[in-house]
Amino acid sequence: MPRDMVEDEDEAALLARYAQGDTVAARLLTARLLPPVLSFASRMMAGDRAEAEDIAQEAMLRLWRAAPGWREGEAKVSTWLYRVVANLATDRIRSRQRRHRHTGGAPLELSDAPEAADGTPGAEARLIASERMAALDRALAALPDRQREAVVLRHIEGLSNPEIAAVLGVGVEAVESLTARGRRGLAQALGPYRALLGFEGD
Amino acid sequence: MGKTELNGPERTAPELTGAELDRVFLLARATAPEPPGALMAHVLQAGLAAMPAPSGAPLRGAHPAAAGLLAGIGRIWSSFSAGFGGSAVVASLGAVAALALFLGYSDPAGLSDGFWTGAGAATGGEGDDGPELEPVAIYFLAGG
Repeated sequence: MPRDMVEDEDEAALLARYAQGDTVAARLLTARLLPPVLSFASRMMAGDRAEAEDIAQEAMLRLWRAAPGWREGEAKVSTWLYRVVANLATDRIRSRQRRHRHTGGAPLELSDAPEAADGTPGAEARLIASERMAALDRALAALPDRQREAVVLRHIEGLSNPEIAAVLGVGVEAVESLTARGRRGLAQALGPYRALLGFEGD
Repeated sequence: MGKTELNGPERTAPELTGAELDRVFLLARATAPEPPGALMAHVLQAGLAAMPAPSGAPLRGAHPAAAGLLAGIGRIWSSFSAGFGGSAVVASLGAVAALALFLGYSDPAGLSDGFWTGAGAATGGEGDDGPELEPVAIYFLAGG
């Protein structure tokens, strides 16, 4: 049995234990599920840490509430969580876009990347990594919602195409198409920033 | 550090190759944000607050409605029994009540139709006007 399947069975079992009042299961689920949920939310929200934490928190709260009625075998816990995060992120992005249109603000630029705040060893490397990730986040934000979700789940979260299909509620062929188009879009959007990304002179 | 060369990208720049894009993804995986301790604590706290009360009945695989009903009954039972001194006390009271009910409806041997008349005479009262006793009490009065 693949490793991820074993892990998922464990998550379903942990959720059942949580539903029976097992506090240890609550701790294990938090430790296991929150990191990937936050990571996915962060990429979906173009690196906005505060928004990502809000979404991760809301997704986990929904999981806790769903636990007593959870039907084992109906959906994978992680798949269900990714779907919740994707929906929450999409809602927030659209809400943000509506606000942006109403206020007439200038679009965010890649130059809005965070700046280094200290001179400690490794700070420069962290700044470079931060700017590269900011470039990726902005390029991801420019993709259509479904392409962004497919690319992040496939290439950053490491899900398989069938798993992504379950998250997005589409077929595997559609996932392959979304991922391919998303990659092409990212490659074009990031092309002008190859120096920043460290590819100049390769 | 101020604005970088990110301003004004060259429109004619070649797109990233597949390998270059994969390196960007690799970096993204390596720099995935770790949940801060406060967030972990908050999520766990919310989980513990939302956690159903412990129950002996396993809910694994149960239908959501049935599972919810069982969980609700469990909570009600916990609240109810706590008011009477705990589950053991309530269970004991229930056993006594069930026994009394059984004895009340059973037809004890030795209790004839004329028993009450005799009992009334024994206490000096008039049988027909005497106090009405529950079948259980009658049984115990008869020494059953």
